[in-house]
Amino acid sequence: MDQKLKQLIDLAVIDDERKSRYIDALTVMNEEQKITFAVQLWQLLSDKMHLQFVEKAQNMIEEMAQEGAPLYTQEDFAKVEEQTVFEFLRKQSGLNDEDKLAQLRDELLSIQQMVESHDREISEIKNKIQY
Amino acid sequence: MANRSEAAQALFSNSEYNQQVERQATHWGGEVGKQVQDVSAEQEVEIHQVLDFYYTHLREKYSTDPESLTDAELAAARVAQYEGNYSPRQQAEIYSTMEVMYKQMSDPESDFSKQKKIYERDERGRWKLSADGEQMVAGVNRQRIQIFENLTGIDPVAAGNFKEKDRFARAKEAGSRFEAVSIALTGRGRGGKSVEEMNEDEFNAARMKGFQDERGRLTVQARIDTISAQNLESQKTSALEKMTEIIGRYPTGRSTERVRRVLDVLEMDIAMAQTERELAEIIRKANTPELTEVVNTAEYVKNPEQVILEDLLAEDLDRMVARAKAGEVSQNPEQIMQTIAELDREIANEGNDDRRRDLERQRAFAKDAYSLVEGDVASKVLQLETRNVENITNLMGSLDEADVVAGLEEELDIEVPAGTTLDDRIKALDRRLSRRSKSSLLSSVASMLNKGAKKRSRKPSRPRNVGASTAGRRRP
Repeated sequence: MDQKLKQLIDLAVIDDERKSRYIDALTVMNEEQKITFAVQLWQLLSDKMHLQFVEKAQNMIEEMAQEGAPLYTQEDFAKVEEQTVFEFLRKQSGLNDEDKLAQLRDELLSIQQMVESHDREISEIKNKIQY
Repeated sequence: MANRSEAAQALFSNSEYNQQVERQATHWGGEVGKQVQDVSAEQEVEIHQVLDFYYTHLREKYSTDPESLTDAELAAARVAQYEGNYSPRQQAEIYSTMEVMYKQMSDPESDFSKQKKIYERDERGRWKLSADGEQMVAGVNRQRIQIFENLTGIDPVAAGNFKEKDRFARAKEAGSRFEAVSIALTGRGRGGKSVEEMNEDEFNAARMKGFQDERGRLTVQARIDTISAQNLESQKTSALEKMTEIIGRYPTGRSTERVRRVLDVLEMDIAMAQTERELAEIIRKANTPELTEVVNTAEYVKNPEQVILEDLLAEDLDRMVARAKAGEVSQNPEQIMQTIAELDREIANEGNDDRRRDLERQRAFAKDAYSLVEGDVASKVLQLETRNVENITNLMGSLDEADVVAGLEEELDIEVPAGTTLDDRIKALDRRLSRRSKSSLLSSVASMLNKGAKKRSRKPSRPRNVGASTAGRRRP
């Protein structure tokens, strides 16, 4: 578990000081904390991937603004989003097997869904606290 | 250039359109938007407002010198005259125009910023967005996001779990960025280029420098923006009232101030803790074999913007690490405060910048630990909601005796002569409570205090000058 988490930290975090602080903390985390920590790291990664997509999409929109340039549809943007995720994972993970990349992507998405559900629960609790 | 000049003159001489924008764009945020009820229609109106605002600037700037108009500005003047029901291409053009506007608004000394008074000076002489500027920035960003979503089907800010990104976007877009850029551009008076003269690379370099210079402030700004002060305050007040009401039923001596102090560090950590366990359970059941295949080949290009973004996105992770680390340090808030005070002294006397930064990091960590220890007390306070006397007794048993005693003295208006020992104060309280209390609850309080006295006699007292800090304290 620690090795996986170290890999994830290296993958997700760019700030060296933060990276070493996180790796140091692994020695004092219990198993439950490590699992939650892994989820948050995945979330950080997915946020970064999304931002990469936004940058690409902005360039496509700039292109569309030119007379005679192709008009992209929402499906085109969706494809670019998927490609961005794959490119990111390929580059960061070193995996080349398409199936494994797809599996990795699906895993990430399922974690995202869990995180969203987690957020909903927190909102409900917040509402209860607010009475 | 004749064509450009003719095109510009034709654009700027559209008298019908000119009259229309004079009515609508003389002052940002006029009546038009307020009259519109339908949301989508309101968005269209706002796009018009934004573009008209820019159009009037271009007309004023170039009406006597149309040949100086850049291609992007010429396109913007044309786009401003689109009437609505925008096609995808038109939306892309509007998006592109807003990028041009955005760039010019980034510099408080650009012609656009100056002419439209987008910035003003604060009391310290620094640039800040004016009221019109705030609305303009908000309007441009709102519509850029809306158009992006229209075209791509994806919300650039809110997709997935992106509340942190929203926070980042707000900090980035809502003014700090502009001021940061203006700071980066201070060289313009000494031969630096104006933002209009910069190419894309130069502009990005200036922007990045602004981010780098203002990293700390941007991060703080973002946090302030995210934790909507009003919202948090209302949650705290509501929780405070509820707790005070519950606690008020029992003479536990916990003053409102004490509860408020706990609430200050409480925020939403308790809610997080409650659901984290459940989430961890779900994840534990999930099979994640691919994690093992991930290797360490990260090749991020580090730029200040990404680092700031990471600061914001990683807050939850930072908190988890702090919580895990807090398990290693003292659980006694007083000891932690003592450490913080020692670190403060060291920081004040440290001449080496690197060492001082290291000490400041240690101090920040100690403060986190303090919050967590206090937060732990806070979570126990919340148990009061069960209205279980046994819980209350346990809670009080886990608190500092001296605090409980001082609180009870305060509650009962007992005046304590300076120098009275804690033992004597507890005995006095016991006598007072025995006379006053008839309920089983007060008996349990007294019993707890008695137990506390016995417990104290078996172990050394805490390293705190109880008499000096609490004896003789009176309700204000």
